[in-house]
Amino acid sequence: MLHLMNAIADLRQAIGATWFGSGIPAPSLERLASLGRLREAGPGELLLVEGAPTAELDLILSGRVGVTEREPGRGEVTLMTVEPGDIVGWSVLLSHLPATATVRVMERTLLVAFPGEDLRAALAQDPVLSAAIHRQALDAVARRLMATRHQLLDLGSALASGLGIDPW
Amino acid sequence: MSTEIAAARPADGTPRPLSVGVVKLASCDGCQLALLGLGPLLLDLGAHFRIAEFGEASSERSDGPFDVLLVEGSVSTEEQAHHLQHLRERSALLVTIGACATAGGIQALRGWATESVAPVVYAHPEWVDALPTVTPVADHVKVDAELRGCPIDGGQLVELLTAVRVGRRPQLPDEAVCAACKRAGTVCVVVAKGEPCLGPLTRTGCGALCPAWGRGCYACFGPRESANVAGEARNLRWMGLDDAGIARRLSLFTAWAPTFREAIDARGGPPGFGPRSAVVPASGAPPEEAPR
Amino acid sequence: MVTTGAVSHDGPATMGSRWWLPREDLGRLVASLRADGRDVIGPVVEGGTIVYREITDAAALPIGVTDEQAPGRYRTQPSTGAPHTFGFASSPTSWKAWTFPPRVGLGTARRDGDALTFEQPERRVRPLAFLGARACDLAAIAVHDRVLRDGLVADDDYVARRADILTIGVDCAAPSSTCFCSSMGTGPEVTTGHDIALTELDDGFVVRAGTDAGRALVERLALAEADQAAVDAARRVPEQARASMTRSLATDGLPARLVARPDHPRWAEIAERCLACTSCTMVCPTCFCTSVTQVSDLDATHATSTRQWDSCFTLGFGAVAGGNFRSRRQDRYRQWLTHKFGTWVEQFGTMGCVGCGRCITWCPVGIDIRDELEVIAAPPAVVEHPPGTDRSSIVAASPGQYATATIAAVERETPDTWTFTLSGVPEPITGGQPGQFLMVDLPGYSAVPISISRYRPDGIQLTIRAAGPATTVITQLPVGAQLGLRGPLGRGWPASAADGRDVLIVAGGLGLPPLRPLIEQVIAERGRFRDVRIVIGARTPDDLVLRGDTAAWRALDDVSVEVTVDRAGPDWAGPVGVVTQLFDRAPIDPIRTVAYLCGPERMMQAASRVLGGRGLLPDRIYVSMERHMECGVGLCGHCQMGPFFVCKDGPVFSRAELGDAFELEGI
Repeated sequence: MLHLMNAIADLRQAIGATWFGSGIPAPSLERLASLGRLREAGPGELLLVEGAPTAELDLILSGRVGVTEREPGRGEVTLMTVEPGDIVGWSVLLSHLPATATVRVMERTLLVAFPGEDLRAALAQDPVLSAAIHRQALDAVARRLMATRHQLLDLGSALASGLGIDPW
Repeated sequence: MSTEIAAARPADGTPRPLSVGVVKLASCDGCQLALLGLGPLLLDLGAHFRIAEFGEASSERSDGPFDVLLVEGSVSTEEQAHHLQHLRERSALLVTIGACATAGGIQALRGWATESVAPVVYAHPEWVDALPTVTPVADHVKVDAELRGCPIDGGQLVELLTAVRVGRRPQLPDEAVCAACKRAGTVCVVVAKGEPCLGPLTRTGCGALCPAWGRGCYACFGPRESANVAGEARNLRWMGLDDAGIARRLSLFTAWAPTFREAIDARGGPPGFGPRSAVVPASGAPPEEAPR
Repeated sequence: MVTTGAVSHDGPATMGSRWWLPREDLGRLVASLRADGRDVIGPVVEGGTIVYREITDAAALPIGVTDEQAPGRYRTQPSTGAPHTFGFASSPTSWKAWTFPPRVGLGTARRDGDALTFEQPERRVRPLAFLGARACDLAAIAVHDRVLRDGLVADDDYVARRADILTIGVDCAAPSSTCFCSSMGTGPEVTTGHDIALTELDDGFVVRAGTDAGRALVERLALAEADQAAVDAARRVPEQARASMTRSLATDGLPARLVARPDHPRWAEIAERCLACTSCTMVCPTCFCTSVTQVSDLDATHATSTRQWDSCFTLGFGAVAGGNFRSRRQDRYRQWLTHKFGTWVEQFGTMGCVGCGRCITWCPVGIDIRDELEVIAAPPAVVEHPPGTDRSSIVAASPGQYATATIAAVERETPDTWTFTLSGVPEPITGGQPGQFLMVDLPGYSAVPISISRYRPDGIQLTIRAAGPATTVITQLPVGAQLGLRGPLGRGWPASAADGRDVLIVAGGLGLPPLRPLIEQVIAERGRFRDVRIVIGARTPDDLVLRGDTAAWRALDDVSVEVTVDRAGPDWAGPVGVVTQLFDRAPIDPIRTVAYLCGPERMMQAASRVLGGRGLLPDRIYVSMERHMECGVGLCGHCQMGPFFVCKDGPVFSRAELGDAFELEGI
């Protein structure tokens, strides 16, 4: 991992190569990179805790983190994983909104952390960056919404077929 | 397949005979006669099924447990409702047979009686202890399969028992009587004679008996899937039936089946009975379309 | 008015000749046909309706009876004017009752221990004569010939029944209000398909021959040549009939227009009137949808298969394990009409409609397809029909012909899914393509379509989930038991489409087994392709199938394999979420990627949308569609999906071929 961190000499380039960064125009990307801090996180570390204030927006460069939920009787279950190129902590963009989920690191993960206050200040000054970040964040949220819906439908049909309506 | 039935087909390939019970609730015994009417086929069934309880045929009685229980008749009294719960617990597969068991039967018309009909029929109505409505078996207990008809078709019964025996789904078509008419070469009585016919609404199974004799279908097998009652009613109106006439036409053996019941309610109930007190007529269009 | 039609004439009968059959000699014609050993089928009045029945005497034929037909209404009445024998339009009976009867035995199957035998039925068919077939009826027989005799797969039963039928056509003189043969180009005059044809005049018939057999019949009857006045009068009969058909149907470009309007609001409106009673399809002389029921004895050791007329208007027609593709009446009506006037053309080169008007007359609520087509397929918007499909690779035996194979090994994949290794598999099957499937039959249960999940020189593997009654029983079979197999059927995965390109294979749940032969081909011929990425999804870790193969593919360094599940406990460290999550953020070269998707329809739709959004062209995305497949050769009609028959044109399609049909509800 240390090796990987060293390999990323140019944070702007590393961010630009991801799905999230690919949607941000070059001058704004420069500004965004200047706010970011490259760091690694180990398995088990909590990046977000549901209900607690969100401190930072994290862009996953490699590894894997999971959005988890505590279910009665089953303990903590992973609802979905977030793969490289995607973000967690989008609620940092809305200063009043605490984290909507708990996010746990599942394997050694390299990420770029953007502190919430710095990010919001930069967005207030740079409408181009603001529009790009919000668009990408909305895309990420929409994707999670869609994934959730598919899982619900899937779960629904699994439940229906398990009800034993038909004895044959 | 239920686990109990599955266990009747052990791996060594020598299955034990399945125990069958035939019981009745409020009914005329006609469906049981259809079973007896199978003749030689009945003997064939005897080799693979042990008939443990069949009041119409044998004085030998059993209280189960049954692998397959055939239930004739609808629930008319409190006692029957209780007995049905007991039978359900004693049966791996419960199969309702006939229009009474599956839809309530002709006696379910009592559900529309505005005042008790008992004084008209019985010398001592105070001796009668019956429920206010007559209901099909599925309103009381879980039903695993149903054989429609007034009476049932013996061939469908054999098919059902074969399917249970072999462990597959029974092939009981849910298409309109029209399909059976056409395969049999019977000319459509609606088109060629202007005869009111419920065939397009009705599940096949009878072999399209009435149209073969030039009469319209009376829906003994009850509503089929996708029954377009509103469309059929429009057609019956063209043939000169008014709303009361349409309600009367539907008020027979399967009148209490939800699809027909709603259409009858929407037309003020069966003629001579009036609307059910429990039913508040809808302000908009009659709820005729059976949701699929 | 012609009083006598004959002139004296000696010499040989020639094809261009016209002869004269006096009315009183109609009996000689019937007697001659019967003396020839034929059963004569002709019109009779029965219960106030003109139907076709076997006749033994010309006296049984109607005389002086005509019919009055309108949408949803049919009556017979005495005709005005001189009494004619064929002075009526179409009958509720069609000749298909003899060429393609309502019920036909397909054969029997026996199970003796683990061994199976399939037996074809013995077919004994009597020579027939059809007396009084109209031009539209002869056109309908020609349509059936294309479909059931001269097409890709000949129907044994039809071929046998059709082999020796002498047709005596009659020019139609009395079309009804529901007739539109002139629009369909099939009538009213008999031009083809007849051995002899009659034109009825007041005191007899002008006769012409269409075949050598017909000419031989004329010679046997020793008919005189017709005089010029009779010939001229006969010529005017179809002209007058044509002029009396006032309702027409614009057929130019109709198939394309119709197929392009699957979402027209009229479909729902028709469904309010339509009773889905099946009458239109049953009286149609060309509708040929059937279903097969298998009835066994109580031991399931001896089973008889019977094929009977089915209809796209029944619920069972669109049923598959766990659902139904056409649960609404509007879906079923659309299925019927788009096939009859649209996709039939692509299948068989003509429309399925001959303009006889039976479906209009015998619809109990009088739905007139001419009106509906006018509204739904109104010009001008002409849309290009989806590209044709390559059907050259289909190998199939006739339905009912099953080869047997023996179960050599069984491996449990999940609690309800097993992989069967079959030996003794015939060579045509072991030589099949990735993505092709088999109809798998066990006597006593309906045959089920199963994709081939592995090819080996000495056998194949099938991965089967106990989803319905047949698969439940099949999956309980022990090693050594036999199965009936028919195939290989359908069009498989085109690996060559990805030559020199990146390969993305996306499998959801049980979508992986049908993809395994493709994956094995891609790995075996790895040099043909650039990056190879395999993405596998399942509901839970316990639902993952072919885990050994997945691990082996993962170990290869030139193939990327990722596995995700929808729900997992703490002991699962891999990705969790829908399968699209594994590639919607990943770098994909849209120009050079070919994707192969197989799994639940919802998964394929979502994946296809994501890939489309990433810039993949629809013709680079291949999907495998599941339907209620029954005959396996594109005849029975159950598996139709928009313009396609999944069993024959698919199950693999490109997204471009499917067009809107891919995401349309109820198609």
